[in-house]
Amino acid sequence: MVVEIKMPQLGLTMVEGTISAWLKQVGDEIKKGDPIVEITTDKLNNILESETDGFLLSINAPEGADVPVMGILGYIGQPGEKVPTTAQTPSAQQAQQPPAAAQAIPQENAASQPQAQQVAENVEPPAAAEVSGKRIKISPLAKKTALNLGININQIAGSGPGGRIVQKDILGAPPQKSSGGQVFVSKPPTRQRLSSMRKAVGTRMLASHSQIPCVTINVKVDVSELFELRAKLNANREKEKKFTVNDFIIKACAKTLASHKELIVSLSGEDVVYNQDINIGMAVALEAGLIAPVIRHADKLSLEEISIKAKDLAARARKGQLGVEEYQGSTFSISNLGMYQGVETFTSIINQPNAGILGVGSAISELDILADGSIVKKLFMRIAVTIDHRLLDGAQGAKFGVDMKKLLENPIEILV
Amino acid sequence: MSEKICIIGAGPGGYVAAIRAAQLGAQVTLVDHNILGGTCLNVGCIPTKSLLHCAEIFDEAKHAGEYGLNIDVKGYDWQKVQSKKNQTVKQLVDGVTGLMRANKISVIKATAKFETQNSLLLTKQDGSAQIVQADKIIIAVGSRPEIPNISGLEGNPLCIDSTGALSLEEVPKEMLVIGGGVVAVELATIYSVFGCKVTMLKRSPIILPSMDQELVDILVKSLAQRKIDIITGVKFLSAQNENARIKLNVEIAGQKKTFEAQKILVAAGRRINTENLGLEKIGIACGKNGEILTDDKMQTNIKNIYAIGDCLGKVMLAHTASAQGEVAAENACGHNLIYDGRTSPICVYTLPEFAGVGATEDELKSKNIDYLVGKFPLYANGKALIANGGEGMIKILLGKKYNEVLGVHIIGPRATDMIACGALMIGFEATIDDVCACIYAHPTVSEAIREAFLAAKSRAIHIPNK
Ligand SMILES: Cc1cc2nc3c(=O)[nH]c(=O)nc-3n(C[C@H](O)[C@H](O)[C@H](O)COP(=O)(O)OP(=O)(O)OC[C@H]3O[C@@H](n4cnc5c(N)ncnc54)[C@H](O)[C@@H]3O)c2cc1C
Repeated sequence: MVVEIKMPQLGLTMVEGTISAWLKQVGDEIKKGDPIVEITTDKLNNILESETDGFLLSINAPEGADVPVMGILGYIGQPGEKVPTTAQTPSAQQAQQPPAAAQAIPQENAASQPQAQQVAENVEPPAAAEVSGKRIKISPLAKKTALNLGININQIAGSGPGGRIVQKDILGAPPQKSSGGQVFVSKPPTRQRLSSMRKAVGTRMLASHSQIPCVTINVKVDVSELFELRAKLNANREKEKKFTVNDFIIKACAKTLASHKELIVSLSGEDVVYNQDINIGMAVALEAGLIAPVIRHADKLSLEEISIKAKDLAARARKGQLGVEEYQGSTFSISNLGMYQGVETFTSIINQPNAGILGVGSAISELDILADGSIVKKLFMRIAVTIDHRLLDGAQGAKFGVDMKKLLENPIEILV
Repeated sequence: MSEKICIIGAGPGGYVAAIRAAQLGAQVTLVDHNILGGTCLNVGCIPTKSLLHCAEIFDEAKHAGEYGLNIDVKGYDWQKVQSKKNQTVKQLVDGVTGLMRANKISVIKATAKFETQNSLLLTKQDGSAQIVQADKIIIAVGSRPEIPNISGLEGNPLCIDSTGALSLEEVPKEMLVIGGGVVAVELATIYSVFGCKVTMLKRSPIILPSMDQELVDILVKSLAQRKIDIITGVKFLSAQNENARIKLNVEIAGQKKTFEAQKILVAAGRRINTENLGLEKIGIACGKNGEILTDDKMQTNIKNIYAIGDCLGKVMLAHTASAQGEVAAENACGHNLIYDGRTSPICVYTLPEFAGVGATEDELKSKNIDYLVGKFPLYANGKALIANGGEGMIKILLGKKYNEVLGVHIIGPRATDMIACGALMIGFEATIDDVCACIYAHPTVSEAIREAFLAAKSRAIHIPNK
């Protein structure tokens, strides 16, 4: 019996996934539980395992294709069994596209297997935003060069015999001989499809930015003592167990939120939702975008527990190994750019459905005038409280900010 | 009204330009004060190859015993060798004459000189003159052998140039050849097969500088087997005749030396035929040796005047002249074509033949281009082994990043015919994958081309890979 391999729904909000790699080739034998295809969504990487024994009969969604949930990726069955010919990957647009460039690059070795050559032959432009269907006259070298540089050959006029595209057309016009001075060779911009993660981040940011009238309150915090305390605590800790500034910030934020529950609200239609749990989403920058795994009940966890949790979530987020539940359900978020020395303050975009987010800058040495008029060097950090002005007002944000400042300036309190 | 185009010179540059312009509807006049076909047909490519073919048959016949053939070779009849050559030349010249007629090209036998940028003064042999007007003029006046400035050579009846060497009354017993270019090597080969003791003398340290030097070394060994001495780094001093023999005084590595022979053949450089054309009168830009300067549309600094072939002083080859002729004709007729010389092969008609297209290894090194080399010796190729005992080699050069074909060099049987596929590869910007995806017939020497490409990736089939 022929069994469909379908795009799974890996999270409530997932509408499509990208085929990042096929782990089996057509013809390979597959046992139930074998990993068959790697899927990326805006949030995670997931390896789809086979639900049945058999052989991979066909691959219907090439690597790089975006396929809607439940779309057909391929078929498993017994050799000789017919794959339904009407099978269509729901994303017709994607299915029509040639395989992504990575798969299509002709083999390094000369005279590679006939199959690979055929693939290479069918490859039209990389980054084929417009697939025109017309035959493009292009030299093999020009094709390789375009593939390598990510240039869309649909948009290039050929200068070779009969309008054939030759390498020089891809590389751009050669520099004109000038009477003197430097010659700068301009390179055409390259182009790539947005990854599904980038698209998702963009959609969420745009929604938040256009729906939420926000206000940001910047608060200056003296973190001299906090840094001293951290240094003391870390002195005898193993390298990978040392507390980060972020651990203290999360703990202090959670603790302050416990007495400012008005900040952990959500807007749901005409209703205000009063959240009860202090679940802190911490923004983690990935190569491909952004994700905010959640530290649940952060107010109830010790600094130690927060530290372990935060490190684990960040590490797995970078590897794309988070489960759906791990990045959903936050009630407040923190975006920390403090590791970039010199970042003073910035306004974060609210992570919906949260109503507030804390932006954390870097610690900067500054001079401070004490009550007695003397001047001393201290470490200051700016925290920026951004709130949804539909639900909260500036005063509420300011009170929270100032209370958090007090806590950070009296760091021993964070621990108790 | 159709374009009036006048072409000066009926060599492979001029007559091809004439045909193409006529095909495009122009009214074409072709002027030459000599026989149609220029250097190539009359005193160049064709007569040398005819003599070489005779030499090759003779050479093979002498070795027929090795193949089990009992052929009794009774020498040769030089007059018949010459007349065979003349007959072929005549047939080809007649062919060109017929082509001119078929294309309605008006041919005028006269010497042309510029009057204005749109008119030429044509002077016939009988002294009569006429002026022809033209919208466009294509200059294809070619080149002629040059006798270097060595005292005692100019006007000496025992000193001949390539033209003289093609119509000698008899084969000299010994001949000194001054020069180490294609013409020198070819004529040296011909005469040595016919029993002449040839000594080649050359100023510079290498011969055939435009060819891949690794394969030149193979040719040098082969010439040595034919008892052709090659002496490089020679400084020429003077020459004088004594008892119907010519003596050449030279200096080699500081030592004075005298060579003597029945004849000296000078094949060292060519002079461009632009002196009496009146170019300065209309202001056509030329280089210091009288070579005409053009852009890649073959257009000179005067927009309605084009120049092609040997008179540009760059690549002096018949097929280059013809290719440029077609480009000039197209552009003169209002089209827009560019001459791209990358696919122009260079052929050396020796025994075995030698041909190359694209870059040589030395050229890539000097331009700091990253490359891969693939080589295949012809002793491992069945057909070459049958044909000439497997003498020769195929060498290919690929760009390192994209593995595109940068150069193809062949020494061995049929090299000059096979080089066409190297030119196609370069013209089509083929990469190693494209070349190796093709199937080459067995048994042919051409199989070795694919093997050389495979060897670049250490996967040649018929030799162990390093
Ligand atoms: C011995 C020898 C062997 C060669 N072998 C080869 C070979 O194997 N392969 C190859 O590719 N090339 C070979 N060449 C080179 C080749 O012959 C030339 O490159 C080619 O002929 C150049 O063509 P062209 O049309 O530019 O000039 P040419 O062939 O030189 O023709 C120029 C013509 O212009 C005429 N002319 C000049 N001035 C005037 C004037 N003022 N008025 C009227 N007419 C004029 C001349 O009479 C001549 O007919 C060889 C050359 C020699 C000498």
